[in-house]
Amino acid sequence: MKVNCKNCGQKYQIDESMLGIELTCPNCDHIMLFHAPAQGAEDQPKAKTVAPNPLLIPGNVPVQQPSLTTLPKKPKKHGFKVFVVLLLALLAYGYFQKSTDTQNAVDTEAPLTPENAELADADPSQTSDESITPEPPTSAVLANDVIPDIENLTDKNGQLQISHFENIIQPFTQKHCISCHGPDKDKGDFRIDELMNTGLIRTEADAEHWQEVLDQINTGEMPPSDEEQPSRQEMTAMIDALYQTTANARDVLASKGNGVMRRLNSREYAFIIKDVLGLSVPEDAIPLDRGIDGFDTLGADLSTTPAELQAYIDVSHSLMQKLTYDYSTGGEIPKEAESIFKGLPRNPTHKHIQDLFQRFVVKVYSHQPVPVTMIQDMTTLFKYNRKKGANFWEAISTSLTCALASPNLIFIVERDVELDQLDIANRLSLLLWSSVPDKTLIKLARAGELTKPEVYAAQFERMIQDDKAQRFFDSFTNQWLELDRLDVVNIDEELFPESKENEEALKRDMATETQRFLRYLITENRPARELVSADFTILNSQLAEHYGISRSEVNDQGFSKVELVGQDRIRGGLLGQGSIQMLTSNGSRTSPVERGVFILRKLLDNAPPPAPAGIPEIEVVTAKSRTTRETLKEHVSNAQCATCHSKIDPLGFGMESFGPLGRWRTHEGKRPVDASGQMTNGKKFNDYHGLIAGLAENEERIAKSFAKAIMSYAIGRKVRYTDSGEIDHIIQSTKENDFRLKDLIFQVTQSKTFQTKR
Amino acid sequence: MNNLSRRTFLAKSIGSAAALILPQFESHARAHIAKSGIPTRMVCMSMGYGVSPEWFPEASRSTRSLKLAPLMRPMAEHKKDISVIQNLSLLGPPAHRAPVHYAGLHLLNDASAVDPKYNHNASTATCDQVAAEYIGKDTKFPSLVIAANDQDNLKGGNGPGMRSISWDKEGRHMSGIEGALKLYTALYGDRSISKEKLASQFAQKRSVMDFLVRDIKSLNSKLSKGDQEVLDQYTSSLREVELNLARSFDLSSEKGALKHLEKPPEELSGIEDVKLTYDLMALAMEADYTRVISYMLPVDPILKSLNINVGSHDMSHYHSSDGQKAHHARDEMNMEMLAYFFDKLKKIKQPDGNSLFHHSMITFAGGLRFRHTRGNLPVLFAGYGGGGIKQGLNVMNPQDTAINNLWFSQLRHINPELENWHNSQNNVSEIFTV
Repeated sequence: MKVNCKNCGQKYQIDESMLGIELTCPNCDHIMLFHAPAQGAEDQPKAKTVAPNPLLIPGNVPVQQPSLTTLPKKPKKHGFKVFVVLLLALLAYGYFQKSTDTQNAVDTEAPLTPENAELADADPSQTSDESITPEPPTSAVLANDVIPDIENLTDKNGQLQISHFENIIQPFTQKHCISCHGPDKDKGDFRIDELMNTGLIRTEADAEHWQEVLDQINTGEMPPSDEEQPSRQEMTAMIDALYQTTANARDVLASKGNGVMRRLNSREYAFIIKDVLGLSVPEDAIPLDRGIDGFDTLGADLSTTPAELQAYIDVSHSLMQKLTYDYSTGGEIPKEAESIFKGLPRNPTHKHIQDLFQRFVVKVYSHQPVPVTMIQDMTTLFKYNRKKGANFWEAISTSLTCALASPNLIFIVERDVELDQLDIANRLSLLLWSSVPDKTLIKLARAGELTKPEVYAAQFERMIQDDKAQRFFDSFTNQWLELDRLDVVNIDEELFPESKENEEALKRDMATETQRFLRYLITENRPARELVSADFTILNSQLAEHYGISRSEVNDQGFSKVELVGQDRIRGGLLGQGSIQMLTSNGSRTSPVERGVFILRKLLDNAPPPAPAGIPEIEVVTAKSRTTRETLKEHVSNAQCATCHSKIDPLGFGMESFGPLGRWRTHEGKRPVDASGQMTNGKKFNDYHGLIAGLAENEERIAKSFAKAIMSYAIGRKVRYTDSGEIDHIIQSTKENDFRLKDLIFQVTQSKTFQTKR
Repeated sequence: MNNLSRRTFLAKSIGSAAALILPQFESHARAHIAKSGIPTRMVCMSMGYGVSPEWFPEASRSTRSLKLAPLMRPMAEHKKDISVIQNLSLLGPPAHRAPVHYAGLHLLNDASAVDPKYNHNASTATCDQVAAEYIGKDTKFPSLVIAANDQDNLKGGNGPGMRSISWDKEGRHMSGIEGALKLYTALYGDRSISKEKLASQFAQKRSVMDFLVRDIKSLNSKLSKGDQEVLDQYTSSLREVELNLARSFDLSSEKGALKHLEKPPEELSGIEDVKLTYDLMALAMEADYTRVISYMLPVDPILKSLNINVGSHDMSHYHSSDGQKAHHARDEMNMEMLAYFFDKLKKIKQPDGNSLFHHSMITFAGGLRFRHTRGNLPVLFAGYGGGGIKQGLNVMNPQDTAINNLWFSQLRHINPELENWHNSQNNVSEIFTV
């Protein structure tokens, strides 16, 4: 259909999907509206009734104005386009309905220009031609979380086309993918036909799936080696098309941030109170925040339930009661808190009280702007409580409590998408110290100096070498490597006929080894590959004895670095450590599955999907007569299991030389151990050394796994598809110098993802 | 103290309408009360890991009268008043990479079946919370959410980090009252301090709320829409904290209808803890402090007090040589303790001459069947809900029937207008006869 812009006269070709939607003329920015001829409209924009409030008009959704410069080429997709547009219109309608309260006042006063007037036509009901309009969206579709997905994905046509869909991607998948990932089979719980249904990328999940397809083809995992292989030419074309598609999707998706503020977790809150006031929050005072699936910094897991809020209020109150009691009775108070009471006379006036509150608030809120009315409100509250019969110190402590339980403190408030220097200082210190920035950092941030490259690097270095960084090492290591799981391992008495105390000590030592090891790798800025292959570890004599390492090399005084030579070299790297070996066992038998999954998730950035529902685990009743490895053969003989387990198990087998308690073994029962296996790209190995050699070749993936974990911990949300550009950048910038771990962390803190709120 | 005047004072003196954010809670809800005039009670319990196969009564083609399997022996006396409902399943896809360790995650709503976009942070209300809306609003505790004092990392199979099996109507995971001792304090309040002191403490705490309300307002105006939603959680929680505070003041300052119970000792074994929890649940329902209870049971503490040195996870896998023995002992102990609870409820008489048990609907279930399988769960259902419920059955559903059928049946029992709930397909008609 040919149309003209009423304003500048420019001619355009449009298709039906653009009818009834306001379009911006690329030539002159005039807003135009066209109707379907069937409804008697002309190919001309025309003004209709004047709308009192343009924002109330459902169709006025500026973000997805169809572009006139890139004309859609596939008429058969119209249904979907209209559907998307209608959906957006409805969503926008709901959104603006909600926001009218706040916007009404301003918007009703907007001048009624001709452009405004034309917007009145943008009512989706006028264009709903039954023949091209699919079912109206159900309420489920209108759920809040749909909004960012679609908005994000909306390019100028209101959708994202997959590049070369018909000429390359469709034929390729038909030939090489669909027989296993289609209606007949859905290996790995993945169906490419469902993904291709629309020829569009509609959600971030779609984009992730296409990325996965690209990765599988890129790494040579797919098509599997026992299937017909695509020609070189086919392969190149497919990879190019997918690359282009995923890159586009990333751009579109990344264009809008949707990071939201999060609550301080209980750990951070306690550290802040400790650092700022010198007071200790009793353990268990606040329900422990444990990420249900990830880190305890993930905002999505940090909901604020009544029980939690109650705990924050109660703990603040009891700390303030104790502090004021101690001070007023001449008891000892932490030196950090002394300055609060400085200069308080015997008979203080309200002015003195207000000054006290001011000193307190400035201290606690050093890392952010002091909430304007807070000090005044605290004083008012003090007067009120005094009037109601509270004694002097009771009333003081009640007002102080308010400052500590305030949402201003409990939430990490970042006001703009582009973070300011104080926000960045705050993020840095939450990452490395689980607390607020110190004076030095605040001073630099306030002076606008912090983000100067040499200052930033120096501060980062100072912070990671500071004692407070131990908090980061402990919590990051424990959570990333899930060392807490050691607690639930029930060690078989036959294997370890010692006391419960010794068992706990052993687990503790193992966890300590891993924590110290990672701390060393990071602070000494060692290459990422040393995560799997290092020539040292950090042991105490008990653990050395457990491992069978000659005690003469080990310092008797606690943990120390031990150089590993000869056979002992197996202990150099996470997979050689008792902690990892034990937590991927059940106390009596090893689990090559757990071990394979661990390697994939933590080291190869290649997490397998969760086990499908309702599949019973393999019976271990006959285990005594078979090795663990033999038991797992069922996984490969059972087609349902084979897809994933043919990738998982052969990696885990490489660790079979380590028993469930982390001791080296050559036999399982009377049968010799077979630790041969296979990397995900099909490369075979014969033993543990082969596995490690294979992993060391994948150092880029190891670096990526580590960087993504750090990123997620640091930004308080899961790393998403849209972050992959930044992640790639981090990886590339550390490649030259062997992906060193401290460099990786530093690069994370320098990334856009870290320094913007999204 | 007059709430309004206090607020007005603050509003005047601080110069803003601080009082507007926390509206007085309305108690307009029409309680659904059975014809007898006696409210129905609903108790939902999650045992964590499943049961040994010897717990299940023999499967048959159709529903028959209940014959107790060996591990159900302690239920002999209550056989006619309970049913086992077979083949109920959580139909939703696993919502987590380790779904099998989250047996209690959405036992009470099958959330991932209801909403495919479900995640564990944005769930939908569990059936107990829906019931609380119907029948709980006029009671001191619209619902009691209890979680065992279980230090186990996997919280006895209910799920790592799980703090209860309940999700509130805003889809937030609720923090349960942990263990019998805390439950005791929640119900009895702190009676160790004088009334004057209590009133003064109460007033101080209330004033903190007023301050925070104002703080929320000033912060809110500076936030983006997404951030405001996060802050809304704080606001609504604050509202509830205020209500809880008022309640605990009432409980501490006046003797309610709650029968006296001596303050329990500080150290309780796992079994003692569960039994005392049952005592307190019975007392709370007797006093009509609450009509709706969810309870996430422990596993490891029970094993420990049975002197079994097997972790709950290994128990459920039959892992160590003693795994099976441990499982049997725990399953049987659960039945023994539950029978103890039923005994209690049967001894409590209601005004119509029937027992509290008669007026209750009690479900004891696990989110896993046996080992780590998710289908065809162990479900024991007891009580008559005040009438209209048949018992003594071994109900055979078709394989993988939605567990929400059972929750729906109970919700409809207290609110006959309810037409369906989530993915429930049917009433459990063998049992719910009305």
